[in-house]
Amino acid sequence: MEGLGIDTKLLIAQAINFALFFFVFRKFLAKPFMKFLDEEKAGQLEQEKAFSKAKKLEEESSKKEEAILTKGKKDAQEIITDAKESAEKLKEEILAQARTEAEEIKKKAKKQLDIEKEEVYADAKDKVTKLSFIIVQDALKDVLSDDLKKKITERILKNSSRRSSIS
Amino acid sequence: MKIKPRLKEDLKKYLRQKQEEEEKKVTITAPYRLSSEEVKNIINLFPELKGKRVTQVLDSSLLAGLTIRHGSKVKDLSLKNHLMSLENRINELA
Repeated sequence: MEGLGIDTKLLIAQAINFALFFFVFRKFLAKPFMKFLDEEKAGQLEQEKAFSKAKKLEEESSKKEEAILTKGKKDAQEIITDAKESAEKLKEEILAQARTEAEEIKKKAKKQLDIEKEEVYADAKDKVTKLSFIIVQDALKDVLSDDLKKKITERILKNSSRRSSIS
Repeated sequence: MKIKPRLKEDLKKYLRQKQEEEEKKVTITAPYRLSSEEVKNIINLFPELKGKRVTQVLDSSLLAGLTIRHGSKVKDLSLKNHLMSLENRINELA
């Protein structure tokens, strides 16, 4: 053994040391150490659980946030669409009303024009008639000789005697 | 305005007198001087004019024919009146 470089006494001392250490360790340290290890393990497990729970919560809240955002966008889009539709509808109504009013105004104006045309026409006719008769009277004044006047008077009296009495 | 009864009576009397005087008169208006023959013919045509005093008035605007005024009544037999009636008829028809 000495030829291999192994010191027997040292070996035995080491062995006894080791045994002593083992005994002491087992007697006094093993349980608390194991307990400590278990506690560490449990702590780690709990941490992992908490971590996964937190991750799960985060995922859920992220999903909820996304859902809320999506719903919000959808609602906003719906509101915009409704507003556009209402605006279009209102625009159409206003246009239709404006068209109707324009038509009414056109009709009234045409009617007024027709009335004024009739009035002008009647006035012109009246003036032409009056003027014609004035011209005829003036012409007759120059043309009628006394003889003609007498003949006309006789004819008028003849006709009158058939029809009338004093008014 | 209240008129006194006496004044009212006098006015009535005066108007009555005037009317009677007018009833006795006949005014013939013509565009030329009518002969007595013509006047006679006219009076024969309208018997109510018999016995009345006839006055002639010249009015060339009548053109032809005549008008007879007896009291408050007037008979318009003038050509001018005929033309005016024709004018009114044309206006009505047009």
